[in-house]
Amino acid sequence: MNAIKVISSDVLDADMKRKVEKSFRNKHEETVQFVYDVDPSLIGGILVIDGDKYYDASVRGQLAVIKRNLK
Amino acid sequence: MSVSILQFRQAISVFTPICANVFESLGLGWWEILFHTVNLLVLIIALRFLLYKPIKKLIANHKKKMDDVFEENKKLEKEAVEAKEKYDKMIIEAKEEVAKASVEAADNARIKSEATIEEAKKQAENIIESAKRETEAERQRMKNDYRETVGRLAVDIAEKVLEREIDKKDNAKIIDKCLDEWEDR
Repeated sequence: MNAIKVISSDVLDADMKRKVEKSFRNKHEETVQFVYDVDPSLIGGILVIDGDKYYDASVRGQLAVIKRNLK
Repeated sequence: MSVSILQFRQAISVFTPICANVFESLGLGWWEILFHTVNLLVLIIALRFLLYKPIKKLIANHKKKMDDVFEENKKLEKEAVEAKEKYDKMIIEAKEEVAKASVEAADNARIKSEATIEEAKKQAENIIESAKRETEAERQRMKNDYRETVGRLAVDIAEKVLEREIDKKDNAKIIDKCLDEWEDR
């Protein structure tokens, strides 16, 4: 069974978890397991690690992109 | 002619006694006069052969030597004049050559100095141009550094502000938005 790790800056409520699981379950034919974690340094948004794919919608990630673009 | 001979005979006839009287008064006889006359002639002839001719020859030789010397002097003088003319001509030519060389040297020096000045100007222009380029590059680099620094500072400030300002509602909006975007991936 594949595991998808979801990291957020704050604990996600059930409704939000359902949205996330619905969104990523559609990408897989087989059953997947969701593992949730909290990292306040993300500031906001979520970070999803799906196997070898990396979905970063955290505020920290967006700020890092802006910093890279400044160079 | 016959008159002249007659007159001569008359003159002789007149002078002969007179001369005879003179010679007699001096104590000289006809033979003595003849002897002294012959003696004188012999002496003259002898002197002519023994003294006059050698001296004449000596004088002729001496004159010839003198003429040769004069001729040699004239020749030497002519050669000296020619040498002087040649020398004067060489001096004039040398002066002209020196003047020409001086003009050429001055021209060459002028051309060389102009080339040096031109080269120095080019080098100065190149240095100025290079300095301008370096200044512009440095200015651009400092501008970029400044922009990056300001940008980083702005991001850091934004990060601090967002840490305080983002609430659950904002966070939900962010998550919803990114989930919509990820649907298509």
